[in-house]
Order: sequence, then C-alpha cells, then structure tokens
Amino acid sequence: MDLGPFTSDETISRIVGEYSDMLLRLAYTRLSSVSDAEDAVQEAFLQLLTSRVSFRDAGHEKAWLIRTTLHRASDIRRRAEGRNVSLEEAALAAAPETGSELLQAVQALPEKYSAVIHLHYYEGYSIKEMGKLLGLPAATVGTRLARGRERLRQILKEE
Amino acid sequence: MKWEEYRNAVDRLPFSADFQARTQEALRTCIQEEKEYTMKSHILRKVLLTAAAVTLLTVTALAAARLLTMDQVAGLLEQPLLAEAFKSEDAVLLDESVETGDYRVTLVGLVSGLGLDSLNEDLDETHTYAVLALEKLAGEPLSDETLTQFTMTPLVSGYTPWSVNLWSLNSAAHSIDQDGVHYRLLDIQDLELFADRTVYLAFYEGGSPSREIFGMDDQGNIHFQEDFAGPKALFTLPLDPSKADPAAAQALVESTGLAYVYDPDPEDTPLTVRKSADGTSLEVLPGGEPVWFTAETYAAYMAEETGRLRQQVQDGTLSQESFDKSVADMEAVLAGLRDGTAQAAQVGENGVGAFFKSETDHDVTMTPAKDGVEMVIQ
Repeated sequence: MDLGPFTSDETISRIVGEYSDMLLRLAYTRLSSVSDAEDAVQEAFLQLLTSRVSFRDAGHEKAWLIRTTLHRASDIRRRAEGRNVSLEEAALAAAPETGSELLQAVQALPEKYSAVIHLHYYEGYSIKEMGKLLGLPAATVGTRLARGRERLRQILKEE
Repeated sequence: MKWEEYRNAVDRLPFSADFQARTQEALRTCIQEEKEYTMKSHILRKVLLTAAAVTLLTVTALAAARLLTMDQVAGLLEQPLLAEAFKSEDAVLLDESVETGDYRVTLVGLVSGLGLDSLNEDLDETHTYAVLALEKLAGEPLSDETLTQFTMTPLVSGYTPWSVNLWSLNSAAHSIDQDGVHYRLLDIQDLELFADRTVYLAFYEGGSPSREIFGMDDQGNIHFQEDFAGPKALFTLPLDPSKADPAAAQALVESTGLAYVYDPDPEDTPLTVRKSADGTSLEVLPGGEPVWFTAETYAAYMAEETGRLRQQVQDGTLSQESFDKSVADMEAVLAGLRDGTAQAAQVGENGVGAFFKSETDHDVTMTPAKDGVEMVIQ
C-alpha cells in the first residue's frame, strides 16, 4: 500500500471532523445498519489515505469523498447480497434503527435515486450543486430526482 | 411527502459517538504501519525492479530490431524537430507489443514537448506524440480499408472513455506504411496534465469509444468489455506524475461538456414529452418541468448562445459551418415563436428543445444530452 498526500495529523483531523456526519448519513441511505454505514465511511477515508489524488478546492474534495463513500457503500451492499440477504427487503421489513417509513423507502430506492433524494431533501443541495458533487449533468440529476420521488410514492403506496 | 419526518429520522440514527475518534486513530495506525513496512521492503523492491528491467530489455530488443524507430517515423513524415525530440532523453522508448486477432500492435514510444511539429496549428501548446505500429501476423500488407476499421486513442483512468479520448483532446493522427507495417503518429493535446492518473493508449476495432467497448471499475480503471470480440490492446503510458496538473486537467475535461463520471447503470429511458390534443402544450414525463420561452426570452437565450458558439469557433472547437447552421436553426425557432408556429422550452438547467406545431402529430421525445436536450420527433 502506498500513501498519498493526506497523511498529516492535521489533515486527518480536519477531514474526518468535517465530513464524517454528512458521509455517514449518505452511506446509511444505501445500507441497512449504522455499523455498515460506519464501515463504508471508514473505507472511503482509508481510500483517500492511499490515493494519490489532489483536489483543486474544497468542493472537489467533498465531491470525491461523496462518490467514494457511495462506491464503498455499494460494495458492502453487494457483499451482503452475495450472502443471500436482500437489503431492500431487510430495509423495508426490519430497519429498527429508523422508525420512519419514508427513510426506509429511500433506503429501498436504487442508488442513483436515493443519493439525489437524500442530498436534496436532507443536505439541501440544489440540482446544480448535486450535478457538480456527483459529476453528472444537471438535467440528469433533475430526472433522477423526479423519478426518485415517483418511486417513493409507489413504494409508500404499496406498503 | 413528509420531508421533515425524514430529516428527523436521519437525525435520530444511532451512529457511534466515538466514530470520529475511532476513525482518526485507525487512520493514524494505518499510516504508521505503512511507514514501517515501506522501510523493510525498500531493499527487496529495488532488487526485484532490477530483475524486471533486465527481462524487459530482452523483449524490447526483438521489437526494436524489426520496426522503424520513432525518429525514423517522424523523419519519414518530414518532421525534423520531432525526430530530434524522439532521439532525446525526454523520449520514452517502449516497444511493447500485443498480438490480438490477426494482428500485432506495438506501442513504439512517446515524447511530450512544445512546438515540435508542423502537423498541428497549436504550436504554442505542449503536445504528446506517440508512435504505434500495426502489422498482420501473417505478414501481408494492411489495406486502407482494413486500417479505417481501427481506432488508436488515449484514455485516462477516472474519466469515461467517451469524455477523454482522441477526439475530445483535439488530437490528430498521421500515418505511413513501410515494409508491410503501418505506423501511426498520434499528436495529442498534452497528456502529461493527466500524469497523476493512469493514462492509456487503446487500440481496437471500432469507432469512437463507447459503453459497448469500454467499462470502468470502482477505482476508475478502464478495461475492455468482456464481450468485446474485436482485436484490441490497452497500453499504459509511463508518464512522469510530477508533471501532472490536476486542476488544468479537470478544467480541460469539464470544458468538453461531456459526462466524465462513469455511471455503471445509466438512465435507461429518456424523458418523454406528452403533447396536448391541440399541440399547444407539452408535459415532460416523469416530472421534468419545461420552462416555456416567449419570443423575447428566446431572443435573449439566442443572443447568449450565439456568443458562446462564436467563442467556440474562435477557439477552434466548432466549425464555421456548424455555427452557421445552429444560428440558422435558432433564427427559424425565433421566427416561429413570433408567428405562433413554434414552441421552445428549457428542460433542466441546460437543456433547450424546440418544435414546430406542424410536427406535433408525431411522437416527441427529449433526452438530456451534451449541451442541451436531444429532441426526437418520429
């Protein structure tokens, strides 16, 4: 393993302190437990440690961490599905940590929808801002937001 | 939907109180372990690298004896400055060969520099030049018809192959044939900008890079799709990471306006536009909200868009012919808005579509696309 430029004590403290809460909430929308979300975020930070990336500004840094956290959460989700556990079902049937039908429904969405729904309705990002964070055209983000809302209506209606 | 309830539920999630402290400790431990490991392995790694270099020299000597050298290729293309650069210590001699299908493709080598050739007009910009050789394993010459089937293009890890490639990097290719071997000199916008990433040179049968040909993994590494059956090779360029300029590279990629982040599961259905019976209003499904232009707002949009396109012509990224056609199209829409025969709308933040009422007996679809909305009337 080679180390990148993010290894000083100050940098680790700043990045973990600044982004942990936001990334944990985002990861949780993809996973069925807070411990899995914590694993995903730790893996993302570890990847930052070992990546030779450099960021042009804080927005770029945040975008990289958001995308990497989503990737790591998807990996954990796939590993769980490989163990024959349907996380969508688990999220809907169990999800004892949430106590919210709407949050469970967001967790049951495909990732491309849950990420924009969460970033918009919890973190308050605009479509344009989400486009930059996720590296997508704003029109695509708008479409995903609209389709995500429609999927949520269907999921909540079926319950 | 009850978004306040959603936010409250997220706020109540029982994440570990010591998550940050635990994570910081884990990262620091990881760094310490890596430092200790690096010291122990340094000597061993040096020995292994020396052994690998000896092996590589043995293989490349075989290719070098058979093919023209990079400077010979540049010389035959009447590029003396480039020929000298290919002989300099800045040049990287590779001679890496891959046998694929009925062909052998060899990446001979590369060099980057400023004002090295007369083949392009950007003499004030640094370019990267790479020489590839293509030959048939059976030895017979390659026909022009065969050569047009193949593409040789740079790609960069972390950026989709359809956003960073020969075309978007404003590159050119020049060819000569010698003794049954086809040589291609690629003249590419400075690839060293991307040197902190993996930079590839891809050879394959087919046209511009697409999702059918290439995929990417979670780390941004590019690979050929498993079911891509044609001849193919993917070389990695040994560029100097210290010459990378990530900010300039990112700005360059963003300036293309192309989707550079890989989406493994792209939108499978386009936005659909449902029209009213009288053809005077459209509803964008499912949930897009078009903002309709008046003649006045469209005229303002057109003035801004014309300025943007004119700048592209000046930058050399848009032909005068395309500019004239775009302006003519916009003038036609503006005229239609003024006389009531056309409608135009903005969808999302950067998509504009327009249609003429005489066309609304047909199905209309809108798809988000580069620089706007692709509107299809069937």
